[in-house]
Amino acid sequence: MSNSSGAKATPLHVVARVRTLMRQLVTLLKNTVTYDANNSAFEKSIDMLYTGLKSFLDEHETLPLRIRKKEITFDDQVVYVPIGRSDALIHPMYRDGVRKLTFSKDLTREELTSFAATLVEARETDPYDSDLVTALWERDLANITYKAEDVYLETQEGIGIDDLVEEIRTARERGPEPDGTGPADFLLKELGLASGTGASLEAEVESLREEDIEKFRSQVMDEDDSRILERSSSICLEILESTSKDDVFCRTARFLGEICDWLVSVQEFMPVCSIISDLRTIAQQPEVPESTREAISDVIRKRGVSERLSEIESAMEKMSDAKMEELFCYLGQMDPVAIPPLCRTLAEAETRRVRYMLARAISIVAKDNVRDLEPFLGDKRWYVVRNISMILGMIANQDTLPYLEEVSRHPEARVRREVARALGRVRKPEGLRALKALMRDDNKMTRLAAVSAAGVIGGDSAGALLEDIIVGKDFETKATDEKRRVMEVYGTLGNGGVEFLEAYIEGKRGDASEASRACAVYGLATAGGSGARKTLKNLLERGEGLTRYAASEAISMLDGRTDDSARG
Amino acid sequence: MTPQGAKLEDSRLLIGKDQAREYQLANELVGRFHVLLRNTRTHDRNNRAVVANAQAALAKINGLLDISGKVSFDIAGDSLFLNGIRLRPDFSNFQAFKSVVSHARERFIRSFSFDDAVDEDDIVAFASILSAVDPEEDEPYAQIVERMAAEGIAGIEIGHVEERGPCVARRKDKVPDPAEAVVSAFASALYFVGKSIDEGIADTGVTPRKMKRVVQLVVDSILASEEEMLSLTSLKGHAGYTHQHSLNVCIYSVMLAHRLGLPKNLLREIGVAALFHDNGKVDVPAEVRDKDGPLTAAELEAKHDHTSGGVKALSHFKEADRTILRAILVAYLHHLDIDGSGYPQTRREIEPDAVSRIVRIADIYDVLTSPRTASLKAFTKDEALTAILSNAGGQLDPTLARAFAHVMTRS
Repeated sequence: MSNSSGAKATPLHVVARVRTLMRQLVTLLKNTVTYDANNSAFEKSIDMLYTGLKSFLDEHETLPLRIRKKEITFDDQVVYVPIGRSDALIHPMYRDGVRKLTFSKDLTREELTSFAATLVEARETDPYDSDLVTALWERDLANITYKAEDVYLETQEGIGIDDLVEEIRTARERGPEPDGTGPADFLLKELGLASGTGASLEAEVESLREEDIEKFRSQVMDEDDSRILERSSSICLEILESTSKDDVFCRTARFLGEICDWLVSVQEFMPVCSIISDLRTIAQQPEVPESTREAISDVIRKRGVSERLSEIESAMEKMSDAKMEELFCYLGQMDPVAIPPLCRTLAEAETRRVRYMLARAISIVAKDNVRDLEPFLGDKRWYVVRNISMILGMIANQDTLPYLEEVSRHPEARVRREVARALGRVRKPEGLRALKALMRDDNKMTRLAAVSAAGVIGGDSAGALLEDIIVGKDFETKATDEKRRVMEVYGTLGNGGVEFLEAYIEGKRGDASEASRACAVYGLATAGGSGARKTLKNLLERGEGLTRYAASEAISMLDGRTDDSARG
Repeated sequence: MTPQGAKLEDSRLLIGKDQAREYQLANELVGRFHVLLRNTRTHDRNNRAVVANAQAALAKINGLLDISGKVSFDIAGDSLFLNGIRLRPDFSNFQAFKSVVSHARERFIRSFSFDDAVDEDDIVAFASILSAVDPEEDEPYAQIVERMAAEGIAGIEIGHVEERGPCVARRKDKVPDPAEAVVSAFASALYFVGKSIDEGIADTGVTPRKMKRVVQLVVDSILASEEEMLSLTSLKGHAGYTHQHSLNVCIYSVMLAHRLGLPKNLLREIGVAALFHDNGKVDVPAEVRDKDGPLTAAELEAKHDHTSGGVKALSHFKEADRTILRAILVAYLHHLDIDGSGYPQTRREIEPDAVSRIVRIADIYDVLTSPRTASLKAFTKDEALTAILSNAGGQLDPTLARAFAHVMTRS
């Protein structure tokens, strides 16, 4: 019996051994996908294959395999046939052009593990970027060699590679072409170089030092992804600024977006901020056509889509504070399209610092697009509504008021309290309408927040609201600390309130208890000014009980204050 | 990446202090042995230089024996392994490695090892025998063994290539001519770059994967047979000027980077960047691109646009791959000098990166030695290198200029 080359055929028992090895290789591939390197099942499969292969190679030196579309052969004998289309052994090899695979005698266990990992990874590699041959080339396995066909070079009509090979052979046989005679010194000038006569070739070559080479080598090795990305983004921006061709602009802008994606994936947020800022500057140039402006918007808009944001989401919780600040700058530059995904991320965020950073970022992005937050104010989760209310407070413009007013009736007290705070931040008298109700809320903390907010808004309307509370029927039933807080806030509204407080202390306004009047004394302290001080001194001299004690404390408070009214 | 893959990559980084010392001694030993092979060809065994080198080699062998107890060199392909670990030559002893490996391979020596019985005389005798046996003669390996036995060399053993067994012998018959493999790689790269320049990257379905595959062939060919690849750069008349120029610059750049000791993956990045450095010329009018004489100011300006044209062409790719980004840097910066002269002048003051500086030198060399039209008188190799070195330090990176001259004069 002989094989196709006429040589004596390989004995059947040898072919059977190779078939077993192939089965073991497939098992190893499966286990590589399923298990970690230290898993016993994985260890067992690699040991089994390695032992078998080593034993075979010790006897035969090499194991050359031919990879065909539907089978693997050894010495023209079929040793493996794939079971299904998703076969992990033949498919990636054949698809990428591997036609011969050879295991050699000095094969190591590590090489085998690496080979299996490469085959498995090749199944998930984007064929646009890489393939199995490239991966094997990168691994550079000394004892697992391959021969690949250049299947990626599609020959088209006209001259093909074979013709070119033939032409090169002919040119080589023909020898060097005779040189031209025309002067070519102008080439130096075109290359921007000085005339080349000053250097001694030998001396210069001899002056080459190993340490200079080492320095250059480290320079190249230090050029990491971030540095390359930064430089290439600068180049793209240079092109964008100089081109007048719309298609070029759009293409370069899109590619810049790709660079941004990469920078974000390696958490280099500041260069992206700078790119976005530059793009916005370009878009603002009056001569920039609308289509170009749209291309820029598109690049910025795509930063904020869910898929891109989800990549950062998982990394947020582990970021350092400094990195978190960089991320805040980046997120703050997003297009409003990012508002919903950012809000969803906020809803899921686990730690307070992440939530706070996200809230700050959303408040910047949503500043002119408050309406985009509205859907989240109807969320069933109270804490989501609370966080959005906080963001509305951070935005702090008139547009937020209708939404805050709406949500001020939320059943959850913690939401209402946040709304009260937010209304204080907005500082618009129109916010007092909602605060009026919140000052009478069932929840004490909400009431206190509403009172403080009214104090921040200030003005006569706020003063009138607080007076209503103070003279109200149920004021007496409140806890002392709440009453004192209301009085203190009222005192901050200005000297106009001093008269009211004096009258209250004297019992001329409302039907107040001694405790309530004492609270009003603290209100006078926050009001400050000469009138309040005079009243407090009188109370200290002529007053009694709680009122006198409060006056004493209030004067101390005034003395401790550094503002002019206290000093006076 | 699978967990197994990650583990392996990490383990590659583990190099101990002893191993580093072992590397150094082995490198030095190869250097000494290379000199010995040369000296024993022209000098007798008592020559002072021969003896001094043998003494130095013996010192290195003893140093290696102290560290690992054995000194065994294996040759596989173009690589030299010490005690099973591949040695990587540095710039200064690149030639020495090549010479020792080819010397051994031509005489069918697969391995040679030294033990503690070796002395100075053994080393001189061994080198003399290796120099004396002509590889063209019948069975050079057998002759070497015979002479070693006759001289009573005790501490050195050699291994025969054919000891690898029948499979190797059978495979050997089918091994293609390395020169043919180089021509094939050259043609593939030429075909590929030609299409992308003539028809544009956008229209020819060029992808990062295809670029890598093509340049991998070029890198492999350079690693396997540098001279063979270099010889093809001077051929003319079988391809358009820009096509051949692009490939030549790729070959020179990879050669230089290889001699500088840069890793294989980086050689590929550099190769891709160099191969596509002039892709922007697709938009430069042919009458400017191939003008048979000096360009006018307006023509120069039109030609200078090819740097941004290259970026425009390369930004066609749908993803920002590292290889593509490198190519973008080089396409844009390969005419910018280290002193800020050249073009394009950028608002953001972008300096040329290391790879652009390599390609700048390779580009100049090829432009001068292979002018754009056949009627122009090309610079000789020495003239071109002198021109490059005259501008080193000011405009061109001096280390790279000298290293390139070193590569070209010693190839």
